[in-house]
Amino acid sequence: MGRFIAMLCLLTLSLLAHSDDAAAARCLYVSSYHAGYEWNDGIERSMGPILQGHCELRKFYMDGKRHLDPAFAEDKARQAKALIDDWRPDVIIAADDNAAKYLVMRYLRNVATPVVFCGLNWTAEPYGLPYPNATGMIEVGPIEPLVSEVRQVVKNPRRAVFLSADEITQHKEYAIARTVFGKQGMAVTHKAVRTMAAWEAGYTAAQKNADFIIIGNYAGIHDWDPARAQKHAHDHARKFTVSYLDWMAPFSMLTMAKIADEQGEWAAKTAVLILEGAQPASIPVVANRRWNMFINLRLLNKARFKLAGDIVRKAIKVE
Amino acid sequence: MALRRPPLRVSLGLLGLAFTAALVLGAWLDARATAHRAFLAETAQIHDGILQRLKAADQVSTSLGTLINSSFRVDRDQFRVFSEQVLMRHRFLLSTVYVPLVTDAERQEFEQQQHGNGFPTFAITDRRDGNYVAAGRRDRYLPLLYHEPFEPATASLIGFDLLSNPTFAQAIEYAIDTASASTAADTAHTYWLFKAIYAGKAVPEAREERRRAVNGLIALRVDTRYLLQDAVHGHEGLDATARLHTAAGAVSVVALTASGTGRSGYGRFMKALTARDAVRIHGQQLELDFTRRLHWGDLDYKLVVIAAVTGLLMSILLAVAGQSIYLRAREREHRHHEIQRQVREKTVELALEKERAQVTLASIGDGVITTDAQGRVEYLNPVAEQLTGWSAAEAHGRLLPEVFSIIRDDTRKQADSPLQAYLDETQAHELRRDSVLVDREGNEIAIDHSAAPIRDRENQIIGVVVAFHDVSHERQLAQEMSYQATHDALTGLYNRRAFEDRLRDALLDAKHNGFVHVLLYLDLDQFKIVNDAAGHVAGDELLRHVSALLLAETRRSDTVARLGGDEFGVLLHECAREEGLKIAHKIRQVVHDFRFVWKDRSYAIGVSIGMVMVNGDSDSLSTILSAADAACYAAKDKGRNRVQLFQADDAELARRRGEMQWVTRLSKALEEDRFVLYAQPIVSLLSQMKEARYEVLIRMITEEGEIVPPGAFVPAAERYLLMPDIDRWVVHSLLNWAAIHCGCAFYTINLSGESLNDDNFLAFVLEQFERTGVPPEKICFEITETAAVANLSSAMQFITALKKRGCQFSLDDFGAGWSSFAYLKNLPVDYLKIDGGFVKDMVNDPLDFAMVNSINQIGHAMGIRTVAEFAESEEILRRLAEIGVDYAQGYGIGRPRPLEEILVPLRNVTAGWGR
Repeated sequence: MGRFIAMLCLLTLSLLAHSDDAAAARCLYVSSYHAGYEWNDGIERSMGPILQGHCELRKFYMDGKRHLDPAFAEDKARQAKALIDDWRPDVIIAADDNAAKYLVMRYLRNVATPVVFCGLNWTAEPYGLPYPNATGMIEVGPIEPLVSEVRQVVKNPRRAVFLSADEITQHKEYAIARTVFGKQGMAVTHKAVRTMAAWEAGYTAAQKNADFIIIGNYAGIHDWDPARAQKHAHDHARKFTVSYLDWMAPFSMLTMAKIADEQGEWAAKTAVLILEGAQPASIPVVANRRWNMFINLRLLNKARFKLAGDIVRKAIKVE
Repeated sequence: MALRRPPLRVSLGLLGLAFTAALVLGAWLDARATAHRAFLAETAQIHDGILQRLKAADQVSTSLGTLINSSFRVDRDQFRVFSEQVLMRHRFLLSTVYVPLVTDAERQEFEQQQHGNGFPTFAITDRRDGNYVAAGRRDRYLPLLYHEPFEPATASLIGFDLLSNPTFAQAIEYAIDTASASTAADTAHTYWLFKAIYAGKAVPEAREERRRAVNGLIALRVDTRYLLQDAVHGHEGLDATARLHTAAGAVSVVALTASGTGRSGYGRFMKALTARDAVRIHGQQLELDFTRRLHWGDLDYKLVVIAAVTGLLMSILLAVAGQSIYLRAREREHRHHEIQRQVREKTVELALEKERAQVTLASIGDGVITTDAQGRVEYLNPVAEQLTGWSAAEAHGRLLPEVFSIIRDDTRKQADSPLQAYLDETQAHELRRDSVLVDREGNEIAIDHSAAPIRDRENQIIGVVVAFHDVSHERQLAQEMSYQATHDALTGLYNRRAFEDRLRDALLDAKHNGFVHVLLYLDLDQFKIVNDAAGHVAGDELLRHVSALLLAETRRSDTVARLGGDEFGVLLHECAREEGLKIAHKIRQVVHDFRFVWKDRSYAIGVSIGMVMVNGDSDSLSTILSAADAACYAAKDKGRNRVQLFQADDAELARRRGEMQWVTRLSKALEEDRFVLYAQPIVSLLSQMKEARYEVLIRMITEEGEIVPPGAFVPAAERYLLMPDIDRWVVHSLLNWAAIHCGCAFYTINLSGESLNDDNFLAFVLEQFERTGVPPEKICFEITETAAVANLSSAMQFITALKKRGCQFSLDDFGAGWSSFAYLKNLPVDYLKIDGGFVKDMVNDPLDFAMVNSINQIGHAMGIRTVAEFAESEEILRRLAEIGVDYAQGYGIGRPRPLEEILVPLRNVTAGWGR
């Protein structure tokens, strides 16, 4: 009888110890943006189920799309750092450029805490990545097929306008676009705006100044009105418009978009791998590979552009 | 007989058990063979499953290579999309990989290009000490570029140069050279499948060209364990082992799969089922070993159970059969002993029985003869010796008919010997009563005899036994009785019964054989006179003489019979009409010429003969007799001493036949009391007579209820002697009625002549008066003149006797008959009823009037009162009154009415007539 009670006690203690270990794993997700922002929500949507059961997840939003001031970002980074210091997560998932620039690069480089980054546009080089304690996934847009399709639709494209919010990632995106399109003999100019009216003006102006328009992210335009933007885009649509963001497909004739979920999924799986004992340095930095294609027939018809049949059949139709 | 009792049963039982064991073993082996066949079918199914999966792997590698080679550019996402579908469908495939061929000269640019594509740390690597490090310089590299599924855990594989692994390098070289799949072991249960991608749209023919044209390869990582588990899935209890043979032909990896469910209880003595197989396809070769440990429950025991049950049942049956054989043998032995014992007993009994039988046969009163199957006499008992005149010794060996010679008593012909019929089994045992034994001396002895076959145990006839005894005395008595029954004792002729039998035979003969016969019906004339005058003895003598005459005038074949009284019948066999008439006339003439002398007085008689032809048209026996009778009386009516041939269309004969029919009706009416009394008033013409007087008349009631007047049936009744019965009915009924209803009236009753001759009738009447108490003075009996004269002595006796009691008598129909006034002197009658034939015409016919007047006067002269019949009118009544007739009756006074109606007071019909 005594032996049975002793074994029962040992079993109970063992279970409690295991429970403590599971509860001890902590994952901190630091987002450059805010909850409700499409890209951020996509990352979270795929990340949550993977991390569940592996660690306690806390989220910190730097809200960089709604607050473009670098000081705000720096302040948020400090808050995040304070949180890290206070909470001591086992792994930190840093999403997108603001977090990489203001938090990871500044406070988490070569520290003991593993960092998994994701959503960095095109390159991690500006932030000195990778570090021994950091690995992750870079966000690469399907720019090459997009360029190829522009050539198919627009006759002798030479000039392009990159119309976006005046925000850090968009500048980075513009730089990439300028490089990629530049290699193809197409000059890209950036029209970075902060208001709805400016966006409308930029769009209207681009109808005259460019052979095609690259619709960048609206995030950062504080008075963004989707319906108004949609109507304006339709009313003035004459030039071919392309985008690499799925949520901008309503304002673009052809969109080849990255998928935020892939970023979150990779980051979560990498975090789990690290929690299981893998070293971040042993996990190479990789690029995303998934993308979707959208076409806006309403705009295409308004501007009287006709895409290749296979594109029309394969693409997702939006209004 | 010595019986091997226990060994037989045991041996058969053991034989059954051995058979059972053989059956069970056979069934067991069959069940095991069935299980083995099922096992082989399983392994074949698994083989097919693995083969299909390996083919699928080969097809996937080919498809991916084709995708890469046929597309201008396949990015990671396109590769991912394709691979995800493949991996989802083929779970045994762990990874799909695209590996481009990079030369050392291209290496740097290649690596930089990957950096630009988002892989900043990309490098072509070797694997050293578990880490991926930058590859050393080689002529060319096969770095892993696309890997699906793309996971952090496998991300380090990106850039790994497959050629850095010698095993892989060997397999890849083989794949390139052969343009087919090749395999290389990876882990204990996984291997890589490589397939080369060549530049151009077609695979180069030569190996060197292939080496030059190759620009990459597709690699698939195959999970052998999953492959086996997937193929073996559903085959519980089956162990499978797969050995991979690489392109080099050596076994490089072993994959073990055990899908057993760990069932316990398999038979320790059950040998496991094993099979070896191999799956080969384009460079992939898996050698498979299958093992199934048989459990008791894996075998199909139905046949075993059936065999066991069947065998046990057969064992039981054999044991039972053995027991049965033993019991039968024992029973036969017992029966054999029993039979032997019974034979001995029966032999003794038989000897005793034989002795007893011989003594019995010797002592019985019947003669007994036995023969053998050939009918030769074997034995005669003493009585038989006596009756046949043969001793047993002399008769032995002789044929039965020689010793036992019999003839038929009736035909006198040789009777059939009973021997042959019995020997032939065509005749059953039967007692013959018509035989006469002719003994050795020729004497005839009436015998009854019977015969029966003697049969042996097999029911075969081995002889005949004949039993007989002397019935001479009995047969003589029987013959005498028969003679008396068929012959008339007085004349020796056939009697009526025998005659009718002969006549019936003749009728059948006529109908069936067409022969014609003649029936003569004879009635002697004046026989009554002889009988009355000379007495009955003379009458009997006369009848015997007439019988002799008839026999003399007929043929021997004819039948002559006395039918009763002075009536004779003659049946002329096979006699034509003319011949019959001739014989009939001859008989009539002979009788007519015959003079019967008795006590010195000579009497002449005659005979009336009715003749009827008996032929195929004749009706029944009674019809023929009726016709003959009618013809005979027709002859009498026509003057007697005549021959009357019956003819169907003869009116007179028809009438007589009608009368005969009345006989039946009257007899039946008497039996059923279907008569009724009527009464006709008789009134006094001379004075006021208060006393009612009636003549009682009879009516017959037919079966249909109709009233028949006496004129229709009285002649027949008189003719056929039924009147005494009718008269009895009238006397009986009237006196009954008078005693009850109207004793004050005066009734007259008609009596027939036959009743007067009836010796018992007087006593009957007296008894009726005595019984009813009716005063005789109220009754007057009417007797016709003819009847009275014809039966004068009887009438005198009758009248005298009743008059002494107070009865009165009336002489009816006076004047219509003999009208011999002399008789009146001897007849003490009180009334004369003047025949109506004179009365009804007396008004118009002076002669009739004179007759009526004369009769009336004579009657009065003799002190006899007169009654006039047929007084049908007032004039007749007046004239009757004038001449002094005392009474009258007729329709003019009153019609006959039912007796019950006369209770109504009579009208005073004489009021105007009296003087």
